[in-house]
Amino acid sequence: MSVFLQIIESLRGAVRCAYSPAGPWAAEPTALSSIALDIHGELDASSRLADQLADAQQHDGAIGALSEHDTPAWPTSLAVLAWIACDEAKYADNIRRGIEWTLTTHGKPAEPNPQVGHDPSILGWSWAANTHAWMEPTCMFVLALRAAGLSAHSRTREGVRLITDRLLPTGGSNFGSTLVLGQATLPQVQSTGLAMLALAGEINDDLRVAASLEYLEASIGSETTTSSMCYGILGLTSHGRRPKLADVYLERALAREMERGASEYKLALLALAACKEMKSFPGFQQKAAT
Amino acid sequence: MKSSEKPRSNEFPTQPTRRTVLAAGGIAFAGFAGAKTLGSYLLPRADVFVARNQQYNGKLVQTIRDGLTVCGLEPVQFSKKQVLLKPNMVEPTRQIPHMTTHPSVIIAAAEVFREWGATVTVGEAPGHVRDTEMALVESGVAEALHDAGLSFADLNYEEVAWRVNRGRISPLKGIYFPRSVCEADYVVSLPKMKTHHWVGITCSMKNFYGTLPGIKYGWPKNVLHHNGIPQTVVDINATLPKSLAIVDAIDCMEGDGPIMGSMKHMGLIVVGKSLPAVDATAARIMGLRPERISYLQLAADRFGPIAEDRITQRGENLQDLINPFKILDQPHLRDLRTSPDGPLIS
Repeated sequence: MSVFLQIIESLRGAVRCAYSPAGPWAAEPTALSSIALDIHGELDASSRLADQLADAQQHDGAIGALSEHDTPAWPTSLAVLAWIACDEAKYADNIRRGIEWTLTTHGKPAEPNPQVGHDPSILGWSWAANTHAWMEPTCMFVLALRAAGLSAHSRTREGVRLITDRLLPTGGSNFGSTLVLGQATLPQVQSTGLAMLALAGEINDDLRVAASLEYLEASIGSETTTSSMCYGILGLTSHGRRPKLADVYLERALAREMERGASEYKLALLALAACKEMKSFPGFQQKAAT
Repeated sequence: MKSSEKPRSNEFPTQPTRRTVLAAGGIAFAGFAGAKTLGSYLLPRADVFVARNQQYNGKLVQTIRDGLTVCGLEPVQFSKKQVLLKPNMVEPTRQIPHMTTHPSVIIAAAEVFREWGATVTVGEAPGHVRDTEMALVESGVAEALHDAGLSFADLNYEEVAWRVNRGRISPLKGIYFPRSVCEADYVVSLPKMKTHHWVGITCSMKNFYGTLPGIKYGWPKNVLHHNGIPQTVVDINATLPKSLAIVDAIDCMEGDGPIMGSMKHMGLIVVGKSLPAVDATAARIMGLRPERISYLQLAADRFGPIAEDRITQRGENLQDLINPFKILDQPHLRDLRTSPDGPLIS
C-alpha cells in the first residue's frame, strides 16, 4: 500500500477531524479532509464530513471554527469549498447561505498609515469580527468565491488586490504585514503557499508574484515542517511549478507525522499536496479570471 | 469631584471660625500625609532577582533555583502542581535566534520545577505563524523538548474556555484561554528581553499574549490590538492563574524588536513572582523608564509594583547592570528613555 493510500485510509474512517490527535472537532480540518477525500475518490466519506459542516452551519450561513463556538467564522470559506467539491447540488442551499454571509463580511478597513507598508483600506476578510483583514483568511475566501463562480465579483477582485498588496517587496508573504516603520518583515512558507494558491489563474504581472514562487522553490525541502510544506507545494503546483522531489518531501513528512500521531488536519493537507494536478480542486476547473 | 471625596454635611460647622479652619486644615494635612504614608505602606512590594555572567551552557538550573528561592518561593508550593512554561516563540527563524527564548533556559526552568515535584508542560500559541511545528523547529525548542522528555501544548488549537476578565481595563468582558492554561496551577513566563517597536519593551507580561488561542483571536491576535495592546496585556495577566517570570536576558534584542532587531549580549537571568516588577527591572536595565511604558503604567500598583523603591533587588546591584538598549528613533519611543542621550537607531 502506498503511503498516500495510507493517508486516505486513515482519513476515510475519521469521525472527528481535529488539529491534533486528541483535539476538539474543528471546521477547518473537517473541510480540508472532506475535499481531500473527494479528490481521491472517497465520495461517501467526503460526504459524511460535508454533512458535519452542514450541521454546523448557523442561521446566518456562517460556520464557527470550533464546535459550540459561533465565532470566529473564517472556516465558512473552507466549508463552501468542501460542499462545492463534494456535491454542489446537494449542498446548494448551504453554499448559497455561506456565500451570502461571505459577501456581507469583511475586515475592518483603516486609512493608509505611513508607519506600515500595506494598504489597510483594501477590503478583505479578517480572522475575527471587527478586526483588520489579513492575508490568510482573504486567500481562503477568494478561493471559495472563485469556486462558487464568482471570480469577477467585486469582492473577489478586491481580495485579489489585497493579497497582491500584502506580498513582500522581495517576494513571499507572512500573515499580512509588509513593512513596519520602514523595515521589511519576514516571509513564511505557509502563508506564501496559500497566497500563491489563491492567485493561481489570475493574470498578474506583479514582479512580487514571480519572486514569491522563487522564494517557495528555494525554501521547501524534505525537512520543511508539514503544513508549511503542503501549502508551499500546493502554491507551486497551482502555478505549474511543482517541485520535482515533492513526493519525496511529502513521504518524509508523512513518516514524521505517523511517528508522532498524525492529526486529520495534517493528513488532509498531505493528501491535498499529493495531488500532482490542480484540476480536481474546487474552483480550478473553471477558466481563470481576467 | 469623586463621590468618595464628597464631605458629609455634619462634618463641618455652618459658620467656621478662623481657628476651626486652621485646625481643620492641620488635621486634613496630617490625615493626608498619614494616608499617604499608610497608602505607601499598603502598596505592593516585590523581590526581583538578577544574576549576571550567565551562559546558555552554564549553570542555569542553579541560577533559576536560587532566583525563585530568594524571591520567596519554596519547593513545596510546586509539589504535585501543574506548571505551564510559556517561552516566546512569536515568529521564529534560525537566522534570528535572539528573537526567541533559548531552549536551554526552557529546559533549565523545567528541571527546577520537576525537581520540586511539579508536572511540567511547555506551551505556546505563536502569534504570527499558523504552523506551530515550524515555530518549534526553527527556534530549536522541538529538539530540546524531545531530548528532555517534555511535552508541548499547542495553545493555538486546543479546546478553549471563557474566563471573566479580572483586569477590566480593556472593553473585553472575558478572555478565552486554552485548556492547558486553564488547568495549570502556575503559568511561568519565559520571555526574551527585547525592545518592541510599538510599546518600547516586551518582557514577561507581553509574552502572555502567547497564552491566548489563535483559533479564537487569529494570527495575529488582532482582537487584542483592537481592544488596546497595553490594556489587554494587563487584563490577560490579571486573569491568568498564578504566574511567575524567568527572563532570558542572556542574548537579548535591541533596535527594531521584537522581530527584526539586533542581538545585544547581556548575560543576565531575571526572576520574580511579580511580573510588573520584573518588567520594570528589565526596563531599567535597558535604559527605559518603566513609568512611561504604557502597560506598566496600567499595571502599576494594581497588579504589582514598578517603582524602584518598592522593588527589593536580589542578586546583583541594579545600577551595575544598566546598559541602555538602542531603540528606534521614533517619536513614540524617544521619551521612554531614562536619559535623553540614550542610544537611538534609525
